[in-house]
Amino acid sequence: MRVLPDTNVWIGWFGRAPEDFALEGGRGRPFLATITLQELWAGVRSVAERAYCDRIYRQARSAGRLINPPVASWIIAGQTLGVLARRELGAARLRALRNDVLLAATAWAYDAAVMTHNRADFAKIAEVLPVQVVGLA
Amino acid sequence: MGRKVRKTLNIDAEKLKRAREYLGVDTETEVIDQLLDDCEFERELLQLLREAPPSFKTFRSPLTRRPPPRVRRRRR
Repeated sequence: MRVLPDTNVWIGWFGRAPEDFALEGGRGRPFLATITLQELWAGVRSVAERAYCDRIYRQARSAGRLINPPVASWIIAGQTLGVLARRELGAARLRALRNDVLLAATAWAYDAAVMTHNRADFAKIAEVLPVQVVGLA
Repeated sequence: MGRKVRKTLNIDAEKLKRAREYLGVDTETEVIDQLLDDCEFERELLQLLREAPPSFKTFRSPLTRRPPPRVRRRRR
């Protein structure tokens, strides 16, 4: 199964490398989303971290494992945020969910699942956008 | 990229057919090649993750709403 780990999953892996890419009930084929790269780059604090993010990016790109949201994902993400707004999610919460919704819409476009520790927020998104959400094994 | 060699393999034909359909490729060679690429990428990625600078243990992106689970503070 293709999986798009969210930023906190990648950060967790940077802190402690996993043994493998096992999922609950299967095996994941991890892809790196450019949305995640943006969030990682926003947090780098040193030359070493910057160099490491660049290595992750180059490795994913060279292996064809880098995924950029296509036009359809931006449109679906906007529509999803619109539905969530009509469900009276506040503006601040909606803004905070923007990247998660775009990640979910990108996973949907590539027939992939979102891998996350934060299943509650993605479950709320999945009520609107039919994306599969998986946790770590 | 390594040298291409001809191999004789004993493989479950039905499983190979299902894999070819699932991956959407034209030939059985492409199935095996793609799965080997996957294996190679994952091996290299695991190695790269093991080489992450120690400072990532306290890393947090300002764009994420929640801290990663390992750096979340305990409630008092």
